[in-house]
This record gives sequence, C-alpha cells and structure tokens, in this order.
Amino acid sequence: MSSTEFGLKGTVRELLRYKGAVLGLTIIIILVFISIYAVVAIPYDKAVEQWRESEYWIKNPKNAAPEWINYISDKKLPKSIYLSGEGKVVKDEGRSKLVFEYNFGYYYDDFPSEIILFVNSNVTKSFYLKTSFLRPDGDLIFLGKYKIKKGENRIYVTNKLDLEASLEKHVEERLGAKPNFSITIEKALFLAYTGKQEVLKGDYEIKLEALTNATSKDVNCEVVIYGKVHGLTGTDHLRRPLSIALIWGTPVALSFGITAATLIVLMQLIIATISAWFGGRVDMVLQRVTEVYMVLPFLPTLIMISLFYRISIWTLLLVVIALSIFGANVKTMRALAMQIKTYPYIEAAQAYGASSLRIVFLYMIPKMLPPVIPSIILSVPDFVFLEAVLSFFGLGDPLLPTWGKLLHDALENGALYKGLYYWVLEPSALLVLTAFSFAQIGLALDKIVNPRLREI
Amino acid sequence: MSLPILSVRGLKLYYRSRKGIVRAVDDVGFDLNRGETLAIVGESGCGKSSTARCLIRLLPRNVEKFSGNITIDGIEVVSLRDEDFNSKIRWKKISMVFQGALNALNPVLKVGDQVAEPLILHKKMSKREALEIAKKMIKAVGIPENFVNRYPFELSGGMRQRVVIAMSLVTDPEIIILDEPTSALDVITQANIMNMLKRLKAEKKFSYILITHDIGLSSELADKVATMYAGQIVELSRADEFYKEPLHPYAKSLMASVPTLREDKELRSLPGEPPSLIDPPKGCRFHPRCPYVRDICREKEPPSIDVNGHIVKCWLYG
Amino acid sequence: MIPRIVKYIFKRVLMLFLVVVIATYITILIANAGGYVDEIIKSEIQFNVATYVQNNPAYKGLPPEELRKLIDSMVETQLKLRGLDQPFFIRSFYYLGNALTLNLGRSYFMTSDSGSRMVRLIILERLPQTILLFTTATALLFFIQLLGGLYLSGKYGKRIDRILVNLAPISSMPGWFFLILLILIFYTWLHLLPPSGLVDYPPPPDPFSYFLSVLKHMILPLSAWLISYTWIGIYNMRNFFLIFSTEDYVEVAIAKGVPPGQVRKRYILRPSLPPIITNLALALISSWMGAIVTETVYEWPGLGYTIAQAIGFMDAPVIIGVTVMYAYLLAFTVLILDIIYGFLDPRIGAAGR
Repeated sequence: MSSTEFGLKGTVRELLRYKGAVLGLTIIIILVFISIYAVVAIPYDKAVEQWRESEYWIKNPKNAAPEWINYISDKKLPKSIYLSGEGKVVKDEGRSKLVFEYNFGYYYDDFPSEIILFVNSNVTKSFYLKTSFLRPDGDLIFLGKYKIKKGENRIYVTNKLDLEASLEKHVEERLGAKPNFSITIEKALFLAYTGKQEVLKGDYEIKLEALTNATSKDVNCEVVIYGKVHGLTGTDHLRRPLSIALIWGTPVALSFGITAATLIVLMQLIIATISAWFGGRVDMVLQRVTEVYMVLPFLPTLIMISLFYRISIWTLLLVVIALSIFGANVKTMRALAMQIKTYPYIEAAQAYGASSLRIVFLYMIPKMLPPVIPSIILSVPDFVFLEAVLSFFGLGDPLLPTWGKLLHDALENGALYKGLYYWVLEPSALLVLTAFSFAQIGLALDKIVNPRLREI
Repeated sequence: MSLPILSVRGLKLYYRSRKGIVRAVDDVGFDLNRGETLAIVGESGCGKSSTARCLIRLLPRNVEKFSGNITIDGIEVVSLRDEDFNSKIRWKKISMVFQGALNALNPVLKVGDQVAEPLILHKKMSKREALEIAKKMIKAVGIPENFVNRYPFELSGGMRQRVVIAMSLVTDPEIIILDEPTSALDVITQANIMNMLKRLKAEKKFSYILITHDIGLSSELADKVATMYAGQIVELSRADEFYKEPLHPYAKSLMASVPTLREDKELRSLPGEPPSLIDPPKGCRFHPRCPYVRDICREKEPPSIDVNGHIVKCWLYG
Repeated sequence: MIPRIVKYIFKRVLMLFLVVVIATYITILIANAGGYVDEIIKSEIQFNVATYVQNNPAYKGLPPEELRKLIDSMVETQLKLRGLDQPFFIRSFYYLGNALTLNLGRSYFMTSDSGSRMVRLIILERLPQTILLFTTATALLFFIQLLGGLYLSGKYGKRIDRILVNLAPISSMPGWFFLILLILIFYTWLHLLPPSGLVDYPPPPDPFSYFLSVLKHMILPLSAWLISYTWIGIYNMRNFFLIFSTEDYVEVAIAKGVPPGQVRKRYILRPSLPPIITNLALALISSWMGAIVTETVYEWPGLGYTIAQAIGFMDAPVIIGVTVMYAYLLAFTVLILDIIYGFLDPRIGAAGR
C-alpha cells in the first residue's frame, strides 16, 4: 500500500503538489475562520433570536441587493436614507407646533422602495402630524395628516391607498397624459416629469408638523426612505441581512457535512470489516440488511420521519446517519476487508491469540483507513447539500439560519421571477466554494492513495 | 553454417520514471540459432523481462530510448514502423508466453476464441477454420478438445497455462519467448509443462527464449544460458558449460544458491541489494557485491571477454 | 434442464421481493409510530360507511343523531371484521398487505387530475412523468460517461485527459443546484426557456406541438443533470478502464497484435462491464433520490414533486404512498441491473451449463 510509504507528513506534502488541493485547503481554512467568528461573535442563541425577530430589522429595506452592485451596474440603486433630528417649536397663529424639517439630496437613478415615518411620542394626548414633501422642482406635495398616539407610531406611507390615488392623478396632470408605467407612491414623489421612468435628482425636503404644544424632547421623529441596496450582502423579504445566515450557515454546513461524512463512513467501515471477518451467518445477515437499505428510499423516509415527528437538526443528523450506515459502500469496503483478511500478519495475530475484536479494530481497520479517507472527504459536499435539501423541503431546523434556508426562502419568495439574483447567488456561491474545495482535496487524495491513478 | 534465427546487437531500452531515467536494458547482444533454446536467468529487476518485451515490441509508455539491432529471420525489426512490425513479425515470427497465466486470459471470452484470435488476425482465416486449428492446438498441449467452449474460470491454473502456450504456438512462429512460464504453478504441473515444451520443441523445431529466475528449471530446456545483471548480459555460454562451471562471480553465486540433490552443498546467498537501474554503480555494476572485487572493477566497466566461446563481462578474465 | 440464467433471475426476483416487503414494513412502522396509518385506514372505512349509509334509502329520514350512532357502530364492526382492533403487531401486517398492493388509502387534501383522492391514482398519474425524465437523463448520462471514459482510455496523461479529470470536482454539486442556476440564467435573465412545469400553459392542442413543448421543458432539467454528473462519471469510467487496461490479458492482447479498437472493446470494455453494472446500481439509487429535489425545484409533475406538495399539505397518506412507490422503483432498478449483470458475467451467463 503506497500510502504507508508516505506517512502523514509525506501525504500532506504530496497533497500540496496538486494546485487544486492547495486552493481547496485555503478556502476551507477561510471557512473555518468564518465559522469560529460566527460562533464567537454571534452566539447561537443571539443568532437564532435575531433571525426570528423580524421587528429587530425594521429599519432595513426589504429585498435589498448588496451595495457593491452599484459598482458594477450603470444604474445607481438608492441606499436607505435616515432622517432624524430635533424639532423646532414654532408659533403659528397663536398655536404652537413642533416642526421637523429634513433636507436631503437624492441623486440615485432609481426610486426608493418604501417610506416609513417613525414617531415616538411622550405626549399623553394624541395629536395630528401633517406631512409634506418638497421636490427640487418646487412641487409641494401633501402626504397626509396622521394621528399620533402616545408611544411608538409607525406610518407606512407606502401603503396609503388614497395617497396613491391622489398622487396618480397629480402625475397625470403634470405629464399631461396617463403614464405608460404603473405609479407607486415612491415613484410619484421622485418622478421626473419627462414621460419616462426617470428620477428627479436634486435636493428634497420633508416637513413634519406635529400639531401639539409639546416640547422637542417629547416627540422624536425618524423618516426612513428605504433604498434598494443594503450592506455587503443585501436583505431578504423580512428585511434580515443575508450576512447573518451566510455567516452562521458556515459552521452549520461544515459541522453537519463533516460529522455526517465521517461518522457514516467510519461506521460503514466497521460494519463491513465485521461482516468480512466473522463471515458466515453474520455476513449473510448484514448483507441482507444492506440490500434492504438499498431499497428503502432515503429521502422520502427522511421526509416522513422529520415531518411526522418534530425533530431538531442534530436529531435529524442522527437519523441521516442511521439511514445511511448500511448503505451500498459497505459492499465495496467488505470486498477490501476480505482481501486484508488473508494477509499473513492477520493470521499471525490469530495464532498468538488476539481476540476477534482486537484484530478487527487494531489490525484490519487501520489498514483500511488510507483508501477510505478520500471517500470521507469526497462525501462531505453531499451532506452539505443534503442540509440544503432538507431546508428546501422545510424540514431542517426551523430555528437556525443556514445556507439552505436562504435558498429555500429565495425560491419560495420568487427570487427567480423577480430577478433577485443576489439572494440565490450568495448562498450558492458559498455552497459552490465548500463543495469544490472538499472535492478537490478528496480527488487529490484519491490519486495519492491509488497509485495506479497517479498522474504520469 | 546457417544464419541465426535471431540476432541481437547493442539493444538499449531506457524509459522515464518519476525518479529519473531507468536503463532497463543497457547494451544487450546475443544470437539464437534455429531450434535452440536460450535461457535468460537473473534476479528480479535485472532486465530479462524488459529484453523479452523489446523483442516483441511491448514497450512501456514513456520510452526514452529504444535502439540497437534485432534481426529476426533476416529482417531487422528495430527500424520497422509499428504497422510493419505488426503485419510481418508480431505473432508470426515471434510470440510470447506470459508469466502469471492466471491473469493472461480474458475472463469474458471463451478459451477457444482466444486461441483462435491470432489466426483470424494474422492469417486471415475465417472463424470456423481458426477454431478448428485452435481445437487441434489445445489438444496438442494436452487439454481435451471440447474445452474450446469453456471460459477461463472453468480451468485450473495448469490448464490455463497450457492454453496460453497453445495461444503462442497457433500461428507457427519461429521463436517463442517464455517469460516465467511456470512460476505460478505447483511443482508437478511445472514438470508436466516443461515436458510438454520439450516434446513440442522436438516435434516442431521451435526456438525458445526461456526467461526465468529458477536456474534449476532452466536446465531442463536450455542449450545456451545468458545471465543478466543490472540490464546487461554478464555471461553467455553453452548450457552444459554454464551449469558445470559458471565464470562470472554473479553467476557463480547464483549457482551456489541452488540446492542440489546429490551433493551436500553449503548454500550461500548473495549479500547486498539489487542495483538501481537509474543510477547504476560506476565501473562494473556488480562490484559492490563481488567477493573478487579489484580496483579496476570500481573504475572501468569490463568489456565482454571471450573465453573459448564462453563470453564473460568481468575483469577477472581480461 | 433449466438454464442457469433463469434460475438466477428467479432467485433475484424472490430476494428483491422479500427486500421490498421488509422495506415497506419498515415504512409502515415509521409511519404508524405516530398513528398515521391507523388514521388513514380508519378514515377510509369511515368514508365508505358514510357513503353507503347516505346512499341507502333504508336509512333516509333518520335523525342525524341516530345516523351518527349507526355509522359509528358500523365502523366498529368493520374494524373488528378486518382485525383492526387487534394489537399493532397484527394490524401492521394488514397494512403491509395493503401497501404492497398499492392500496394506499385516501389523501387528506390532494387530488389527482381526474378529481379522485385515491392515493394510488394520484401516484400512478404522476409516475409516467418521473419515468420519462429520469430514464432519459440516466440513459444519456450512461452513454456519455461510457463513451467519454472509453475515449480517454486511449489518451492517458495527454492534455484532454488532464483537462477532463480536473473537471471532476464540478460533480460535487448536485443536479438540482445547477438547475437553479440554469433557471436563473435562461429564464430570469434571458427569458429563453421555461422555469417550471411539464408543458406550456395552456397546453398546445395538437399532439406534435404538445410533444415539442414537453421537450422544451425537459431541456433545463436534463442539462442540469448532465452538467452535474457527467464529469465524475467520465472520471470514474476512465479510472475503471485505466485499472482494467493494466490487466495482464490486455498486455497479452496487444502482444498478439489485436488492433487498439478491438483491445478497447473486447479486452477492456467487455470484462469491465460486470463491475460497471454493479456500480451503476448504486449510482442509480442515489439518482432517484436526487431526482426528487430536481422535480421539486422545477415543479415537474412527477413523483418527487408530489411528495414536495404533500409536505406542504401535511398530507400523510400521499407521503407514505410515495415512499412505498419509490421502494418499488428502486427494487425494480436493482432487479433490471441484476438481470443485465447475469447476462454479462460468464459465471452466470447465458452460456452457463
């Protein structure tokens, strides 16, 4: 066996001669660092909590693309604009009101996705808030009068249907004809009246007038004009930054994949060796069990189990292992074990009275490990993708944010129909990198362990 | 005097490996007359199989150098193109019996088909004609005719080896190379096969090249013996002279390690390891292990010296 | 004298049937640990009894209270009759018999296109689409792998060999994954090909356009399948042939002067077919499972998509039914391959005596 001619150090040195393997190793090391970061910086409970707590992300835009997209596309998508500040008390006809004036420049090529007003009031009595919007071209648009109660108020300007209707009319007037595209509130507010869907770039102003004699300390306002890009990775339909799932998905994917692959192959090895060593009835029974396993449909059974009995991802891992250990690989390993059984040093061990258990575990299995290690590494991607498949069917851990979860959410929320490329491509990229790296290392190891396959 | 059926001069075969260039055959030369048997003996890795493969042009994939002169029945073959070698020489003038017969037969083809195949390929016979001859051949090597429809797994080791021999004889070649023809077999089967080979040689006047590491076995058939070491022939002589008294120190030690039935011989083995074919020792390649080594042996490679028709490559004789 | 091969096939059929029985029994055990199968059978009986009672003029005019009591008692009788009030162990064999004959009960919500809620009909309706997609993909893949591996077996170490070998890691990503990416490219971006389904909607009226539409819809799933599995397939075949071409008898054939084409065919390909077929069985089994996800992603109306829908509806009868169906499919696949193996291996082969 040539691998023993190398030993561990030698094998690693041989491995490094393959460029693909070096690349793969580098990527995996990076992924391991990301995993460590994930577990340390965002501990499990916090991650789960953040992922479920949609309120936490309310200030993020929905379905936003990553910010760097603006570097590669010619159309500049807007970032979210957060307007806040103290109000001024103004006396108007004897009545005092609190006025918030916010100025901002808008020079993007696309319209905002949403507008929400956050108003926090300490005033016991409800009051009205007048909102108006001043465009660079001088057009002043009245956005509505809203009742503010004590506590937290949220005004979803985007959803106000009557406002939308009136703005539609307004735009029609200004254009002189009905536009050949649909009008949303954001579009209407920022539309340049050229007849095309173009943004009017310039300085805008939002004015909020709180009809109350409260002081500026009692009322806080924040106007959020939601953009279409956010952060390094974008957001999903619940405004959550994809980076959380991408980062936290890494340790999940790696540990699920590596644990499953290692445990399953090792157990298959043990079963195969026992089957070959003891022969006779034990062998026959184990062979039949293997055949039953072949015919038992893995995925539907897994689906049945995880659907009928609510289980966490780690129990699921155990089930996956249980459903795989008598898999077909056992047959190939058994053939190898049969060969090793005939080696003289095994006979010698028997001669001086070594027990069967000792022979199987201390003599045969170590001999069989080298050719088996490449297949462990090569099967890691299968299990990483299995986790994704399970999330796909909604069967994975309902709490954990994983890459599979992201893909599932993306497809379920029509990313393919709405062109939300990043939502699909980001988890895909990580899946590709992981799978590719393990495959490269596994295949290189395969060539080392199997001298006949070595490059000439 | 008629020309030798096979004449080899200056044969070299080098090939590339990870660790360097292997000089498997390094300037080998000999003659073989019609009806003669030449035994090539030596330890594993000395180049005997490589030499055989040169004769039948089964070259490794990464050949660095293949040069020299091989003349078979008057035709020089090293310079022939592959197509010409295949049509004129291969399995027509020279064939080969491979070692390890257990695996020399295709497990999914019937035995008869495999024996008949060379006839269909080289003599352009129809399948029926070829099978008829194959049947006769199988009988000639001592296997019942109806075995022609069996598969190799249905035959014993000895039978398979006989089939492989039948396969090599079926086109009536001049020269047959036998590469360790019996090393995988038990002693009794070995004896039977050697007897069969002797019989065939007497009947059909084949010329054999017998390659073996078993000196005792070679004495059954050999007319001439060539001893190879580190890719070179270090001794070449008539069989009776060789077995009575080998001249080269290596050959001497080979003989010393063979037990004899009649004497009470003290067996001596050879110290040291086989030499590297990538980086052979300077001077005489045997010098690190030679009990008679002298200074000149370490410096200059000895020439092939003729001692009364007995050729030796050793400074002891020059 | 029965030829050896017939005896062999018979033995394999028997063995595989036994295996299916055991696998189905395990399925039932798993399903019923949550009481699902009990429920399915019970509601089937209730349905039948209720229908009978409602359509029976003898019971018309009975007050609802009475009717309900009547139905309940009839259901009880039925259950007793079938031995379903027995302990689980006995019940399970009744269920086993049902499952093996594909008598799989009624779904909770899902219906077949013809409106029936019989699980068997739902499954049998979707089965042909799965077989169409799967067998086409598998057949294409097999031939590409075989020819690719064979082609490379004459070119070890050369450039094309090195290139193709280095493409093998692409196969670490499953077919359904590439399908998502392909849909992203060819539908979302380029609007060239459909993103889902069997045919265009509304389906073309004449058979020929219908056929073309189906073909159009098969392009993306088939391509995704091929893109994923071709490379490792060629690599494995190439390795196979490499190892088999170092066999002694190959060298003997070359020495004998057998031309390279024939060496490839008779001395490398033919002897390696039996182990190739063995490995093929394993590959096909995992292919069936992968096909489930592919169908789901593409909403291809086959068995895999059915189970995905059933998950959404929590339609246990359908899920159980599909599992049993897959057990049959897998066993059938293994059987076919075993039979082919029998013909190829001379130790069992047609010429056996």
